[in-house]
Amino acid sequence: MSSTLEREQIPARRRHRGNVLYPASTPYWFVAPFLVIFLAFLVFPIIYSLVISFSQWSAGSLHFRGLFQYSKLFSDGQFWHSLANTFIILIIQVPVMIGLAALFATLLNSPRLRWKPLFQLGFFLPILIDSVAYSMTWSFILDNHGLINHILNTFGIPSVNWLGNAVAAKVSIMLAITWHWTGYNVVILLGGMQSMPSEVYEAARVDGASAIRQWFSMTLPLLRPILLFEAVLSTIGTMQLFTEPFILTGGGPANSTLTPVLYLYKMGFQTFDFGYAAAIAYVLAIIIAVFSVIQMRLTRGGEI
Amino acid sequence: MSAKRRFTVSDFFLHLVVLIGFVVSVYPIYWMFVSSTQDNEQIFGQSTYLGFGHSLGANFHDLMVNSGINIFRAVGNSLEISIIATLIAVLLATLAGYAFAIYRFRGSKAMFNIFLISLMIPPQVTMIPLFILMSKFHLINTMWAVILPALVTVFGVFLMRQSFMTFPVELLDAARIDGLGEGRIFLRIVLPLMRPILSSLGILTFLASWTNLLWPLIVLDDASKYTIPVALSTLMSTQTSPNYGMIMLGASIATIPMLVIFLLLRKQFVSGIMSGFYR
Repeated sequence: MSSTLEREQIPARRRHRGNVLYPASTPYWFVAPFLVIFLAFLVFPIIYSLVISFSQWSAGSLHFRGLFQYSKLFSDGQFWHSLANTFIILIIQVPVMIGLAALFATLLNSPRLRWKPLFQLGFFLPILIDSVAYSMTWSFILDNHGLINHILNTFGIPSVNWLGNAVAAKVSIMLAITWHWTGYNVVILLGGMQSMPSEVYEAARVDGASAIRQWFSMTLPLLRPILLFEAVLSTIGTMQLFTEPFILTGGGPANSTLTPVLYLYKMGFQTFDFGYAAAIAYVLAIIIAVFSVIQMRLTRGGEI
Repeated sequence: MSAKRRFTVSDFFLHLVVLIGFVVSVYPIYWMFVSSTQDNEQIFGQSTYLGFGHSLGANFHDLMVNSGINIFRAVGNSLEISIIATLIAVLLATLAGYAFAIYRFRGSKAMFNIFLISLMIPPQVTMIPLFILMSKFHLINTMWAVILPALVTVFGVFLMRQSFMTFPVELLDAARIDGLGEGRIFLRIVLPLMRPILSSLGILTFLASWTNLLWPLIVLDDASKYTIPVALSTLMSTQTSPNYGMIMLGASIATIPMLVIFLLLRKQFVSGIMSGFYR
């Protein structure tokens, strides 16, 4: 950390970087390795993917079919179903998770909380568990004879078929993702809170503002940009949901937890319909791009 | 504020709510480890869900002999792939970020804008063409099929460029006057000074590579090449009458390396996750 301090003490200088000459080719040598990899494994696939989505892949070669894959996709009930599932999951799960994260970050930041490092560590731990490992763990916890039903039974509530019922399966996916990602959002929020001026709070306390009042009129506005950004990042992440439904439900029952990426995987790498899978990927990319644009608008609005 | 305060009712509720959140966060992880020592009857029986069982040996034997995967091999593969991918990706991103921040050159703006656009495209778009590419070059079932696409961290270039914006250029000039070449300056002076941000980017890249399931699942189908997520996912799907304790033992073993890395590099871990968010 001391090195950052030293760096900041150096007065502003020209961005044009130094006065001593260097060979004109130098910058290109520095950029070249990344650029080669970037072109080969990102730019080329992105363009090639578009070509594939306009084609039919058979016997190792492409046959141009125009918009055939896209028109097939728009009348494919399973694809719409997967999009609908994703929207239902994200509309419920993202606000719940962000709300929980804001609540726990606030509580974990409270000066009256004891054993703070221990509690913060506990909230951080789920981030370290691999998605497959935690999905498997949750699939056993949610089993018909698992822990959650056991708890419900002790309160006299009958067992729920968590992974075998269309509605409950969606709830299960939401539970698992919320468990895994809430701590991540708490960590980010805590970082934001620690950079807040404590004098302001001191002043508010002297003026007799209640804790809840302080939170809504001071903490919330300061956290607003972070919360918005978290919401959009989570939304984009949820649109790409794969591991949790793949492990927990396999997309079932009756496609009630099928997601676009899971469908893409099935079409691309189980049916090997490359053209169709590429079209799915592009439609998904467009939907995500729309969300990214909204993200930029919102975060800019949040920072004012 | 006085140093000693009384423990009020609202303090009690504060601690209660935090404790509930803490237990919900930690308990599934605890349960994962505990159930790896239990047999099916214990896992789904009306037990307490707290104590260790006596089946660790049997589960371990089952995992090594009957599971169809080699979990330690998978840990090794994952470590190998993630370490190689991280080292190369961080180096490439640092070189490029350095050039964009320190030098002025033709085409840098255009390149930069293309990078920016590419950030908006989700990785799933590249999967089909990359699969075809990997098959053409006979890289399917090799670790390079996993590593090569992971080397493109556009985000890393942005992160490094941002950090180099405040780099003291006078230092570079001084080194140039002393007759050091540009490459040597980068290796001897720049890299050592950038260690904190390098470790942040390194941890982010490592985590992304370590937890990736979808792409390795597509390009690896030889059990001896499996990474941890792929190995675990087959553990779940290939068993007809699964030994759940064995599956949880596999999950526990797979979790340990990440926990160790976290304990060793706790500070860098948190700052890495932070810098990953504020892109």
